[in-house]
Amino acid sequence: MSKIRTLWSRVKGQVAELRADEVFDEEVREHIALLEKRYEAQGMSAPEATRAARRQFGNVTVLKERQRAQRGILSPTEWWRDVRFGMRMLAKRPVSSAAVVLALALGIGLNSAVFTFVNALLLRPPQGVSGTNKLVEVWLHNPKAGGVEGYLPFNYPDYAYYRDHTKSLEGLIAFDGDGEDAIWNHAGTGEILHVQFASGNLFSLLRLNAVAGRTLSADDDRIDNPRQVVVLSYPFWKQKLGGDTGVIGKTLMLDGRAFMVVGVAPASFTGLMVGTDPDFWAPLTAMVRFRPDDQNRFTDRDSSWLIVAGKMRQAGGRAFKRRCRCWRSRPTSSTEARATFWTRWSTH
Amino acid sequence: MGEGKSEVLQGTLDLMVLKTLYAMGPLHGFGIARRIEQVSAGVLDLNEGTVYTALLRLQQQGWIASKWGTSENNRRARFYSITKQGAKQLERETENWERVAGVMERVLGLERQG
Repeated sequence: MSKIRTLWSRVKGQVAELRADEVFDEEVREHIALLEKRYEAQGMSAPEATRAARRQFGNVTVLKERQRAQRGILSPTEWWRDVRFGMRMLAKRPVSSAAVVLALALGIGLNSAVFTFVNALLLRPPQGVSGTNKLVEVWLHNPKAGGVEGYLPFNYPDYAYYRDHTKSLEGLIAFDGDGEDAIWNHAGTGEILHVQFASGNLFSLLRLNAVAGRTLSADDDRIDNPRQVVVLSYPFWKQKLGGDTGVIGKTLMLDGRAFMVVGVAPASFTGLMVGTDPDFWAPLTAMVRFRPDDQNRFTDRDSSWLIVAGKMRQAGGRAFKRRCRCWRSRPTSSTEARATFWTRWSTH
Repeated sequence: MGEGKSEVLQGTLDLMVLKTLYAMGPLHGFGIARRIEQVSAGVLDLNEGTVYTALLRLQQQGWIASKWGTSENNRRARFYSITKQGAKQLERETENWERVAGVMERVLGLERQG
């Protein structure tokens, strides 16, 4: 647990840092303003005073960097590493700790501000996609747990249920919050690639068309018959495969298993999570082939590993709340998490 | 750097800030910079921004505390004050400084032998 505690304190620290940055900005502005005033009082013109004040104060950007380093602020990479750790814990551990870890991964606080914070850091509106105002995040909610600890990512059985039974939503997307690394064997060498396992409807719901070939389909992602197919990211296709459309229909050896390339994603689309930038997408259920030892994540309701987004049929706040209530009616799992929490996808 | 000006030695700024707060009571960053400027009579070449790095360091050690107040511009500003621990640290550092300064004086005063 000590690693979790470390993570917790770092997350708290991160929130505090964001505030510390703002406070420091304010202090610096005021200091420079006072210097300007002083130089003006000594007879300088306003622009002269501004220049002199800035010279006297020194380089603000450098100073800010130094302050951050001094405070031990995390770089985005480090922050992301922590979050990935949290997500991995979620996939592996039973809910008791999963709830705690999620709280850590999500940041602190007890209200929707938390989610805004998460949005800003982790989830971003998909690039080059229209209708993002219809996207909502969906979380499992255990009303008995207090605050943010009551919110969980989805487990697979509950996701599948909601995906198949939703009437008010056009559809429900899910993807692996952690992402996976896969070794690509080619021409006698191996290279580590990042794969995001995503539900088969990811591209169609986001109205994303393949640049070449096709995108993933719901048929690729059937739990009884997962297909070993991948959709390449545009940068990967361009940089590693020379933008050759001939790769469609060919196989890539990933972790020693053959996956067929079915298409290439649009150039602007880099996934829904900051910092992941997958090299390719594979059907959620194809995870079984990648992680044969971790199959219970498709049956275990205590295995919370899916980030879920819904697409509303129409944008609008009122409809959003009504649906929220009707979703509360189904007990979802042994974990007592029975309701869902929706929030708008970040639009900044 | 202008002629006749000296750069602030690494580590000495913290001591200067601590002493300033000890002597003057709560001050904001601007006030501290002014006081140091005044005392140093223009000899020190101080990037005033670095005062804030010193303030952060001191605060992390628990040697100073801060709270919001109002600046001469009638705007919000953070005022720093020395804590009890800070006063003790100041005592220690002052002794240490005097010792080091004494040694430096003797070393620099060495006559050439032979």
